[in-house]
Parts: sequence; C-alpha cells; structure tokens
Amino acid sequence: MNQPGKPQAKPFYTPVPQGRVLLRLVAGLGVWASCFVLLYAGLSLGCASALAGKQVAGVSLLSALLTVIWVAHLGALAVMFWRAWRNRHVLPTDVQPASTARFTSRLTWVLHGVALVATVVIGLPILMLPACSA
Amino acid sequence: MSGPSHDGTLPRPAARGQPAADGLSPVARHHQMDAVWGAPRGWRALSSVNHSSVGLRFIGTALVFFLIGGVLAMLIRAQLAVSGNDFLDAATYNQIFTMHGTVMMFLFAIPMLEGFALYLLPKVLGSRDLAYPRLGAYAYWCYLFGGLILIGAMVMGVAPHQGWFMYTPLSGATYSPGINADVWLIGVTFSEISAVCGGVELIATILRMRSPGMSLLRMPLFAWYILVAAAMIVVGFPPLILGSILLEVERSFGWAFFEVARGGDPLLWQHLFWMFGHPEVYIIFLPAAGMVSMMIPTFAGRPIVGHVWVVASVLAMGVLSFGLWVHHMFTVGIPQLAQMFFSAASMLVAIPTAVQFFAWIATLWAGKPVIRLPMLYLFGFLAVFVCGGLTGVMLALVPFNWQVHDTHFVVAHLHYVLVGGMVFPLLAAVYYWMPHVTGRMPSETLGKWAFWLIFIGFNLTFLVMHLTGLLGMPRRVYTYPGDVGWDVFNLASSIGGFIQAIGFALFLLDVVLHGRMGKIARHNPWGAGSLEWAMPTPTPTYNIASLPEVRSREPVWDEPDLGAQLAAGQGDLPTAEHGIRQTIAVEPLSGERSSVIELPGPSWMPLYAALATAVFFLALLFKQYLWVPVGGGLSLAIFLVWAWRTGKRHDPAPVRLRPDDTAVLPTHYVVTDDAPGWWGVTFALVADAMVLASLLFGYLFLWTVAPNWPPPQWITREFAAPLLATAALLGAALLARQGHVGLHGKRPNADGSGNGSAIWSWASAVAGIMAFLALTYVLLQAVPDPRMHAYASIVSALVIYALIHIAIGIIMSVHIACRTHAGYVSSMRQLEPRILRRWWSFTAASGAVILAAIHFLPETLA
Repeated sequence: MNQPGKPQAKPFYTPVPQGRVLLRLVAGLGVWASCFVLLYAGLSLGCASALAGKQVAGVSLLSALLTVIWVAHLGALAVMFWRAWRNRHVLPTDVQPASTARFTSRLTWVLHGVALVATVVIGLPILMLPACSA
Repeated sequence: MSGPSHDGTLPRPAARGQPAADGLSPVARHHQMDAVWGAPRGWRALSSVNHSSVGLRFIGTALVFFLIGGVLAMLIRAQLAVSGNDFLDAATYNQIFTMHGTVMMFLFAIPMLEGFALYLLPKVLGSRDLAYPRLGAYAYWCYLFGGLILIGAMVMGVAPHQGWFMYTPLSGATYSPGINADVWLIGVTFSEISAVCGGVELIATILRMRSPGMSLLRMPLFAWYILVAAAMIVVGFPPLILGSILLEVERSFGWAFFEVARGGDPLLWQHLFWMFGHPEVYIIFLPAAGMVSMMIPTFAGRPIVGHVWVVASVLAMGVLSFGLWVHHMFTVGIPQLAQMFFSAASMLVAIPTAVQFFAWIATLWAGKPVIRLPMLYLFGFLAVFVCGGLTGVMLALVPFNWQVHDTHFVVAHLHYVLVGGMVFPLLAAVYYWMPHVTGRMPSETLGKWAFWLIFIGFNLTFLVMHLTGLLGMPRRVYTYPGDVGWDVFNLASSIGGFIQAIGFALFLLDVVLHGRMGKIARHNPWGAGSLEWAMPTPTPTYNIASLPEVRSREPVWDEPDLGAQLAAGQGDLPTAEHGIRQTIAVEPLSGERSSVIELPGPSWMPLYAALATAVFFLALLFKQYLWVPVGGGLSLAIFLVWAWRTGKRHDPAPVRLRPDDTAVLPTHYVVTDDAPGWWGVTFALVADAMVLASLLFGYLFLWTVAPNWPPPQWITREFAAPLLATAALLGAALLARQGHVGLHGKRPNADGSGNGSAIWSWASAVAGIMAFLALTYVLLQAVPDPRMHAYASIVSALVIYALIHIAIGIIMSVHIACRTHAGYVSSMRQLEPRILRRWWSFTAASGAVILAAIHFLPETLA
C-alpha cells in the first residue's frame, strides 16, 4: 500500500514505453500474421508470375520459396518462444508491479507458443500440395 | 496545494480508510456530484454526452432496429412456410432478406454491443466516463442517421436488394441501376463511422481510464474482450469502408474497380467485404463472451479458472480471426494451397474458442453455481454456440464447404453462431445488469417462459434448417416447388420462428414491466465481485463518488462494504465543488495514477457535426454534388470549432487527489505522451493505415488476376514531380517534428514558450502546400482518366488518399499554429504539436509508399 508523503517513483514527464511492452505481448502473433500474409501474397503473386512453372532440382521453385518464408518465421518464433520460456521466472524490469510483470511474462510465452503452433499448422499444406493447382 | 517536488516527482496519496475531510454526507456528496455530471433534461437531453446516456441511446436504438429486423425475419418465414407461396413477390422478398441481414448485422449487433461497452466499461473499470464523451455522442448520431437512411429507403420501397454482402457485379450500375445499392453503400458507411469512432474511444478508455491500481492483471475480463474487439473494429472495418467507397465511386462516376471489361475484378469486392465480414463475427462474439466471463464467476461464486489462458485465447482469436476471410470464397476458384491456408486457420481458431469454453465450464465445476435467471440464458448460449462452432469446423473443410455453399445449411450455421454467440449472452446480460439502469430486479417467472420459448423456437427453426440445406435448398430463393421434399422442414422452421418471436415479445414485456413493478434491487443483488457492483443502483450519472485503489480483480469480494466507503468519499477525487468533471488516468500496464482527466460537459457540437455529415452523405446519395462540399465544409468547420474549444491557455496547476491529502496529480493537459488523445490519434491512424493497406491489396490483387495489368502504355517514367512531392512531405514531417522537439528545452510557464513552435507549424503547412501541388500535378499529368481502366482508377484513388491526408495536415498545421499563438501550446502542453508531428510522419510515410507504388512498382511488375 502507498506510504503517505513518500515520493512517487516515476517522474510524470517521462513516459514509460507502455506501448512497446504491449506490442511485445502480441509480437509472436504478429510474426504469425506476417507469415500468413507473406505465404498468401507470395503464392498469389508467384502463381501470376513466371515463377509458377519453374523447377529447381525437381522441386517447384515457388513451393521452395514459400517453404523458406515458412521456415524463417518458424525459426523466429521458435527463438522468441524459447527465450520467453527460459526467462519466464525473470520479471521484466519495465513492468510494475511484480504481479503484473509475472502476468505479462506468462502471457508472453503462452502467446508465443500459440503463435508457433499456429504457424506450424498453416504452413504444413505447403509440403502436401502443389503450389498453383486450382 | 502542494505541487510536484523539485525533481519532478509527486507525493502519493494516503491509504484509503478515512472519510474525506470535507465533511459531506454521502447524500450531500451525491447531490454535489450530480450537479456537475447530471444530464440535461427535456429536449436539451440531446446534448448529453455522458457515457450512460450515449450507451443507453445506442442500446435503445439497436433494440428498435432488432424489432424491425425481427419483423423482416417473420416475413421471410411466412413466405417460405409453404411451397409456391405468393405472399411476397420476388422483388419484395429480395429487399426483405437483404434488409434483414443488413439491419441485424450493421444496425443491431455491432451497435448493441458497442452500446453495452460504452455503458458498462467505465463502470466496470471504476471510471466516471469514457475518454472522448463528445466523440461517443457523434458516433451515436452517425449511427442513427445512417440507420434512418436504410430504413427510410425500405419504407419507400427502394431498399437494397442484392443480399447483405452486396456482391458485384450484381450491385454494380449495370445490373442495379436504381438507388437501392447506393442506399446500402452510403447508409452502412455512415453507420460505420460510428463503429470506428466507438472502437478508438473504447481502446483509449481501457488503456488509460481505470481505477488506480487496476493493472493489466487486475483488469476485468470484460475489458480484455472489449479491448480486442475494439482493436478488431479499428483494423477490420476499414476494408469494407474502402470497398463501399470504391463501389459507390464506380457506380456514380464510372470509375472501374470491379468490372472485368475495364481491368477490374468482382472478386476484389468479395475480398474487401470478407476481410471485414469474417472478423466481424468475432467482433460480435467477443464482447458477448466478455459479458459471459463476468457473469459466470458471479454465479459460480469464484474467480474464473485459467485467467491467463482466457486472456491469451482472446488475444489469439483477435489475430487468428483475420486469417479466415477466404473461407467465404472457397468456391470462387483460387489455388488449392491458398484454400488450405485459410482452411487451416479456420480450424485453428476453434482452439482458443474451446479454451474459453473449458474455462467457463471449469469455473462452474469448481464453484457452487447458483441457477438464477441470467444463468439460464447462459446455458442456452453454451449449448447453441457449441453447435454453431462445430458446424463452423465442418464448413472450414473445403470439400464439405463446396457441397453446402449457398444453401440453407450456411444460414442455419450463421444463426447458431450469431444468435448463440451474441443474442443469448445479450439477453443474460440485460437481466444481469438491468438493476444498474432501473434499480429493480426482473421477474424470474416471465423470464423463464421467455427463455424456453426462444430456446425451443430457435432450435426448431435452425436445427431443422441444417437438413433443409443438406437437401439442397439454396439461400435467397423467394419460393420453391412442392415436389422436392422441402415443405415439412420449412414449415417446421417457420413455426419455430414464430415461437421464437413470441419468446422475444415476452422478454420485452418482462423488461418493460420490471421497470415499473420489479422488486427494488438490493445492493449487489447477484453477489458479484467486480467494481460496478460497488456503485449504487440505479447508477448515478457520475458512477462513483470517489475512485478506489484496486487490489485484486474482484474488489467487491475483497471488501463487501467498498461501495459505502466510496460513497463516503474515502477514495480519490471525492469532490466536485470546482464544477469540473474529473476522473483518474492510469498507466496502461501498472495501473499507477498518471494524471487527472478533465472531461467536457453537455454539448450540441456532436449533433451539429453529425447533421452536417448527414448533408454530405445525403448529397452523395441523391447525386446533388453541389451540396457535397457544403456538407463536408460545414462538418470541417464544426470539427475545428469543437477542437478550438478544448485545451487550456495556461499551464494548469496539479489537482489535489483528496481534500485532506497533499498528494496531487497533473491534469491530462500537461501529460503529453500518455494522454488519451495521444492514444486515440494513434489508433485512428491504425484504421487509416488499414485503408491504405486495403487499397494496396486491391492494386496487387488486380495485378494477379487482370490481364495486361498494369497496361504498359500508362507506366509513367516521370520522376520529377513525385520526387518533389516526397521531398516536400519529408520536409513537412521534419518541420513538424522540430516544432515538437523545440518545446522540450523551454522552461515551463515561460511567457510565450510555445511561440517558437508556431513558426515550425507554419513552415510545415507551407511544405504541405508544396507537396499538395506536386501531387496534384502527378494526378493531372501522369495518371490517365480513371474511367478508362481499373489501373487508372486505383492509382487515382491512391493519389487522392495522399492528397486528402496532405490537406488535413495543412489544416492541422495552420490550426495548431494559430492555437500556439493563442496560448494553447507551451513547453508543458505539448500534445497538439506532438499529434501534428505524428500526422505528418504518417502522411510522409504513406505518401512515399503510394508514390513508390505508382512510379516504381509498375516498372518492376511489368
């Protein structure tokens, strides 16, 4: 509880970067969204371009490019999730009070995990279907 | 009054526990507060901007539209009850089913939920009002006028008749030459202004205006749900607003966006519509689920199980649901792999939904559930929505989707989702929070009759309709032959529909009767733990006589006498003798006190601005184009007067939190980065950026589907004017930045400390004018006639988007320069130069993207 007369810790002219912390919470879902948009846009643009029929070592070039996009996002999310999980007991210094810091820390790794699983699921069809068949 | 200490820190308030030293009794305090916060009476009540008034206006108006939509539904069921029926002709039937969908989606579901959010949020958060009371009032009038356009057209027999999703080319000028489609496009767009304004207001309120100590962890789940739904409105509505504008421009001025012969494509409309349309299902579901998450812990007598998982699920749904829109378009012929992306996302989103369901069931399981009337409706919700969710997973499977596409199976599914996911929780919520409005309790008997009639009627109508659909009956047919075996199912659905209607009539009767004859509600009648139940019922206009320091998510369970303490003035800001509407702003994460927000009182400005906006839209609808600038100019003038009247001409002193305490807080005028206005502008720009993103999506989409796109003869290699425009925009952004940064080093309260900033604002206006002229040259010289081809149309639309932003930037620069001279800006009051800086940064960035899209991308794509 507050102590009467005790100075407040934060000078009120210097804002805490609250928006950044909020963005950090949903950063994993943002990576999922980026993956989804790039896969859909890459597929649509690729099928409409000269990439559509090209093969490299017997593999569709477009499918390979989509796989690269997918794996890159998976890699980023895996790192984000692993770091959030590893630091789940280390409270972020820019969030007060400690109970909220624990909450945001837990929420962060849960959401990064959700984003990782979601990214695995939406990308799997790339390995199963040809890129441009109608 | 003590101010901030020399190091810029503030003393913190004393612990709650002592009555306020002003010696006021709770009744005297109520009268003092009510004199400041009370809504005007009589016809002046139209000028009220208080969140309770505005929220109830939304709810009441949405209820009227619900009744209209319900009557239309009964007409549909009467027509389909038997085969070969001639009760309605095909043309009238088309108008009726289109208006049923339009009214229920745009004029009932979203406004009703926004109304609930506007009414409840400040109470749940322990605040006294929303962040922008006048914007909320303006949003209401836009909603009402937009709705009246649609209903007026229906009364005159010229309602839209192309289905609630207005697919092109049917809704284009060739196949729908009358005014009907224009009514939809303009009426709905007008109403959507309301939804976006409401979305921005709700986000800023949730992030900034809570009781002290209400950190993210302690924030009620309802606020989490509304936060996500409001963010989805801000991101999800712009594609449809843009689509409606493009279609209206195509219909009225002959531009080409959706017409194949001129390089467009009708599927662009479907994409833009469903980019909005599918998230909208979740925009409707989430607030209702938020209400469920408030009610179930109350009736279970324990906190929600798996709080962090529920929050994570809500956030995940908010994002994942933007990856589903193409599942409405599985039959249009897109690559199988693309279909699989959307099919996978559609199935994925069921998981966070299920997590919430298990959390609700576990909460009931772990608690001691009490079956009161709202709980009965919640059981109805759980049963019906689960069924709707399961048929949703079936529809997410591409082969099954192909089979039942455009049949009554889809109609049944969407009603299970929307009525199950929204109407049942809404009915529960009406009963649950009714004591807040009337101070009385509902009748358990009549309410139970209403529930069973609605529940049985609903399932008879729509469970059977799944079979009608599986037997192949298509949607939107006004009649059917008698030999195909659909009669008995349709008759059952129609009987069910009328049983349901009787149930809704009983519900309404119960609501009306209880307001007069219901038992007086005792304090906290349901035994809830959330903050709104620390308020008296019916809730006074100021909500709460003093603001508590919150220490958990269920403060009323922690301190059952919290209401009495607050009424006695033992919290923050217990006095209103200064005659100013004040509430506390907190930091978004920690809930630490940040500033005191001073809110405006009753104002006619919102109504005048909405009337002027109505002139603008009606002039467009009736093609009286001379009146368009009149309406637009009047709206702008009113907004400028409105904006001019806000702010302070001097650096305000900090405000004492309690009469007996030395703790003070600055007012929001001097807290720039954290001020609600700052967050509001930021989220409004997010919506704005989505409009641009949708336009760029259209540009790329047409490139992938239209032949010979972009036409090589129109690829411009003229770079001087675009480079000049880009440089001028960059200059405006840098000048506006300097105008803000230059204030930092000034000594607070120094005379004319803001005047240096005015020069930079003027300079940014001049740079903006240069950019405007250069871009106008690009539009006139480098872009072909937009009526010739979709490429020319979409490039023109991109340039006009940039021109509008530059024009607004110039007006803002001049406005803020004048306000700086008038003393509204100082080194302590920096909000306006900071907003100007952000506007110009956005305009410069978006302008650069647009010019790159026009001048570099075509060459690359070609």
